[in-house]
Amino acid sequence: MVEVSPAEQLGLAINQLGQRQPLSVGEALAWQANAGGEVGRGVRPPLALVWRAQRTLIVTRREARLANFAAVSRVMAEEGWPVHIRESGGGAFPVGPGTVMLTLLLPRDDKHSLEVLYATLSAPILSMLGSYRVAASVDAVPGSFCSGRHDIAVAGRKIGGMAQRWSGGGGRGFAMASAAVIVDEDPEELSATVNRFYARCGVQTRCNSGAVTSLCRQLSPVNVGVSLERAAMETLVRCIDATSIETAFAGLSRSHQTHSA
Amino acid sequence: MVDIRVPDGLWDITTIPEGVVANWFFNDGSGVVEGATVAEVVAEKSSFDITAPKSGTLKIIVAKDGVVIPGTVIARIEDG
Repeated sequence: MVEVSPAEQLGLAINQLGQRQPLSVGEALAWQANAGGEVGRGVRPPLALVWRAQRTLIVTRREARLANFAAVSRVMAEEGWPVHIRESGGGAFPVGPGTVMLTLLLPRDDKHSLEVLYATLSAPILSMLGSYRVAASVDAVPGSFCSGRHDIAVAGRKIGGMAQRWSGGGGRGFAMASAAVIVDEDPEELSATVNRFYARCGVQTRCNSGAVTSLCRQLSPVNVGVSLERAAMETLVRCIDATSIETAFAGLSRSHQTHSA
Repeated sequence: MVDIRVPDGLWDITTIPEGVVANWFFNDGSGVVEGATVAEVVAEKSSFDITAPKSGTLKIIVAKDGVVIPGTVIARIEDG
């Protein structure tokens, strides 16, 4: 008898990308938007995607309207930080190969709420961090880049962030919930990158590197093996399967089954 | 006439007090078809497409950058 995981019982497909080579952010987000459309139309099952990206400063459309954005983006790219515009809100968020991302693509149902989807998204991440004995919670971390009420915090410092984009509607839309976890990146460099971007765009906002941490910084050196981020990806996939995500997700899954009927 | 509203219960206002209409994709008085994405609402780091519930003429009530909460009527679709 073939065992079916809780996630598979819910019709959730789990994909892992960028294990060997981090993905281009532009290509990854375009793929996700296309796949999300397929999820919304019911031709693809809901998807949980665990992935890594190439070094990129991901900004919002509002930030793309800042003064000198095009010129600033060219300078940032020359410094090794290409800029990419995303659809969700918030602020500039730097990612790289040491950042692990989790993206959920689910059929949109306006009877659900942001909070349910944030809880569904954060549950496996908190479990993954917990497996390293790092106690994390969803909480605001003032002073960090892209700060918000749904930051992922460890001892008052930001270790990750979450955002959502609900596209379309009328029974054919999809909800994309994304999280980024700082596994093995330098918090000082990440914060300095955001600050350089804002300064060059003439924005007063500055973030404090002391408000940011990483999984690597939380572990003792003896516990940090080679490629912590690849190990974290594997652990996160297992946590998607094993956590009580189905409690929050079951309602969304029933909605998908209704759409597919 | 049908209301276009920010879905009720879309977010908890005790957590996120307000959102804004970030974009209108049609001008006031435009003809829209059912299902078309007419606006975008942003609440903190989350953005939502708002679609037309029926075809007709769009009458905007909350302008771009206007503050909204779940349940706010942001426009109406009039016949014709």
